Amino acid sequence: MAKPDSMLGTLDLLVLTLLARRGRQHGYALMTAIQEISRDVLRVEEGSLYPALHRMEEAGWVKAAWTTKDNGRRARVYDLTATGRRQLSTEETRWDDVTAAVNRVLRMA
Amino acid sequence: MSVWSRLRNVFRPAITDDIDEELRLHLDEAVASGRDPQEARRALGSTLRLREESRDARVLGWLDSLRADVVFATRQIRRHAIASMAAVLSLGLALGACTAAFRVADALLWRPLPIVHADRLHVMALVGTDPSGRVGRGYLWAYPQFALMRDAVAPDAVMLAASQTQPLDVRHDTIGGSERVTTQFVSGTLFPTFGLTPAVGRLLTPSDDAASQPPRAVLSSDYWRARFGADPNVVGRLIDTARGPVMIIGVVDGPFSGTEPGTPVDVFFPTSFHPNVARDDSTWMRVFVELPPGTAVAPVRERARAVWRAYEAGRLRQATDLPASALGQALNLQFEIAPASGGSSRVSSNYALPLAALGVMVALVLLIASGNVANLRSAQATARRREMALRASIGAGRRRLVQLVMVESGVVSAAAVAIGALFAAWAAPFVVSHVNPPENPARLWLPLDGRVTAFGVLLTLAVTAISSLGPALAVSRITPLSAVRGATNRHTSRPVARALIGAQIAFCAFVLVIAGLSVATFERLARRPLGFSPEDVVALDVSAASPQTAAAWRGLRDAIAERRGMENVAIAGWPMLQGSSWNGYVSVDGAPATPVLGEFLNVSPDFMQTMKIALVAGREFTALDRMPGQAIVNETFLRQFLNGATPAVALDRRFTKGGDTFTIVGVMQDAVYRDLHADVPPLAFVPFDRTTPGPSAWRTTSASVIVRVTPDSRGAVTDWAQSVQAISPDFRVTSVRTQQSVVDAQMVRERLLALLAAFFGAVALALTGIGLYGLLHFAVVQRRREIGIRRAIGATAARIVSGLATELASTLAVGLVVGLAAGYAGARGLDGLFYGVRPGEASSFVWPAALVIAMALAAGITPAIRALRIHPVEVLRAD
Repeated sequence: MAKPDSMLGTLDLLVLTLLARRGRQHGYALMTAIQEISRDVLRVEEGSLYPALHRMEEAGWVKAAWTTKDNGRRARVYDLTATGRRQLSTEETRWDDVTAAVNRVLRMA
Repeated sequence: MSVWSRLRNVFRPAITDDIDEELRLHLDEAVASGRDPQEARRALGSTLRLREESRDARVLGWLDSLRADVVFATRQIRRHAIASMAAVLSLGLALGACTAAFRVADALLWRPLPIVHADRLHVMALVGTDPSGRVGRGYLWAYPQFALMRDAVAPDAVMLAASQTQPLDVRHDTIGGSERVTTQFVSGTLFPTFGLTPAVGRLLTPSDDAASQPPRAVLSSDYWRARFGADPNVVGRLIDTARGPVMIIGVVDGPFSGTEPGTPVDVFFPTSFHPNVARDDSTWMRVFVELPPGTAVAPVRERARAVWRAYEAGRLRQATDLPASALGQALNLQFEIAPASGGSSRVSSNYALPLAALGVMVALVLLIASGNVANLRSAQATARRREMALRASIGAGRRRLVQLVMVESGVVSAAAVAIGALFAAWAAPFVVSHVNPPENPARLWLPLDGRVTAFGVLLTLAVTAISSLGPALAVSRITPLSAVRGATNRHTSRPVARALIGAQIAFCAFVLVIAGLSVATFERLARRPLGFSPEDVVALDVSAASPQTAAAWRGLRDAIAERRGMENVAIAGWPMLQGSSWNGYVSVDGAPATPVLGEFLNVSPDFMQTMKIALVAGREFTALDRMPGQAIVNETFLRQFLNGATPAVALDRRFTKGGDTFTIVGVMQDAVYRDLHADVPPLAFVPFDRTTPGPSAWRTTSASVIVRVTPDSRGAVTDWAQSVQAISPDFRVTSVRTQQSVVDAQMVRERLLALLAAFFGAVALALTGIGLYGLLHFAVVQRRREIGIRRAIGATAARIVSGLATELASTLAVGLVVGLAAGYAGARGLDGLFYGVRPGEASSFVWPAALVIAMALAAGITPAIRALRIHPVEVLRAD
């Protein structure tokens, strides 16, 4: 359903990886996590995060639920599904292919 | 799963709140972590856009808008409740009428018989032209003709025959008394050719055609189930008929029930059991031809015709005194072999034309109704220009606007379909129940199968498209700018709407022309002077188990005459106007015969008195008269065969018919005899009793007892008809009919057509009136300002109204002229349906024109009053 757009794909890959490694999280946490881990190199467009999450939810890769956080605030947390896990490995393979291809070009040119 | 959840989301408005809350929480968190609220909001972007984007991901976009459109459309329809109700009702009525017409036509004419290769089945007819130039088809053949033709066309084609279905009273041990069943005599080739197999026992085969075979019966599956409870031991049991017991040899497997849709057969007999099987002058069966694929029709047809001509030439030369030239004329008929996958019957050939007329009428009514809906919808669309333009300016695409309009039409159509389905469910059986006389109702199978459903769906789609395409196009032309500019094009004359109303008037006039002719036909038939008096006359059809002498029949007559309440009792071959025929070529004073056939009916002495047929000259029959010998002829007979001799002169003249010589002893007034639609034929009554060459008396197995009762004992007839058998065990009454019902049976078709045509004529008129009213009303509303200004600067009321009227008059005139012309052309195509009126007659134009003009005036009154009530000051102030 999602177009194999590289930007979209990258965001999907990052979100899926985070959810796989750190378990369920809400949107804001995902955003900050990406920023922190990449040491501010990767800035997630806040405007595209939520549409992407909703798209992945529709695709069945993640499932969402409302929870109440420790500070009493409600949050919509996302969790990886079995389909999402399969999707993650597809995305990883694709990422590896793309980076390998880019590396080859950089070396050979 | 995904599509399902999205479908579910369409009907869960909370989803938008969900998204909103999530985004709000995101901002809260951003602010809580110390970011500037303004910056955070900017970073997140437009909430609205995000929500839409997320929502699009979670909801099927078009489906959501569809739901919104349906809700909006329903609201819109409720706002214009009366107009919408009228649209839904008229569309529903028209849709239902069309579907009902299709159901009846399909069941009666088009649905293939349940046999193998129904598409290869053809029916054979004789085609001739009568003196007035009308083409007539004869479908009935004599068995000897069939046997010869069957052998002549083999092996290229298989010929099979089936008699007209006939009611017959039978007894068998599973029912107490006797019951009336429908029977058909079929040739041995029929079952094998149709690929039919027995459920039990065996079916008829060509070997059953031999005259030496004992009579056999095959039951239809339905009758077997209904009367014998599907008992497999039915084979070998006997059915008792007036002509002796017949053994059941098997049951047809499957739904096949004869070759006449509308008259399902209960019992099949072999042709060899038919009383007239050996007669070369009695035509009683329809002949079918099965043509294998790739067989040319013409050679088969001409081979059959050659055999028929040679045979008929021989027969006529022997049986008549026709000179060679007249003989050639009598034999100069063409053969026609036409596809008959749906079978062939008197009903189907009788109703092909009326159903075509009816189909055209209901189709036109449907078009008028669709036109009304289209006009209503375009008027609404125009009134909603601002709304549409606003929608366009806040980003609705053209597709979205067209979708909105189509959905509104769809909602109207859906409601109309519901009403139409109800109407069709009632109307189709209603029409079928009026196809035949009440004592012999048609039993037509009207399944709601794929054919009918497909027809209904296609029709609905077509109607929706017609009624919404115009408004949809108008809407799609709307630009956002027109909202800003306000209502433009306020004074358009709406040429499309005017063309539409012109077409509606034309359709209406067309329907009224056909309806007027149909009603006039029925009225003239019903008022046609009969030449006899059917009131208080009852006809009893009587069968004898074995042939009875004239003396025995006379005994029966006398026994009945002794009962109370009898005015006169007579015996005849059959009642007047039953439609049966016994004819022959007549030659007077040894002169050569002409090819015009004279009709003959054998009657007992009291017949003319019983029927109240006036005697012009001479005398009635006495008990001493015999056939051949004496004859009473009608006035047409004198004109046709005796050069118009006066009755007095004609007495004692002699004529011959096929070797028999008659002396004219009486002349009677012309009375309608065989066909209510036809001119009175030359008719001769001959004595019921006959002389025979040998010493033994003449005998017959069936005749009709004609009874004139005193008015007060009319109701008792059926009671004592049952007791005829008590008078003599040899006789059995097979049916009791009033003479009036025999006459009415001649007009069943015309009565039905007149009834339906009048109904649809009225509907067409009413719908066109509604359409016209809507158009004028809308024109007045649209021109309020213009009319107000004109009033303000001094225009008189007359000028305002005449302005409206001129606009109407040209449309009306064009529509009317086109409609009447088309009606004339259409009526000529349906000429066979009409009696006593010609399509070109002035009355056939005057009435429809007057009705349409009256309707237009009635439709114009309210809008005209409304126009006059417009107050200049109010209008100017309001704008």
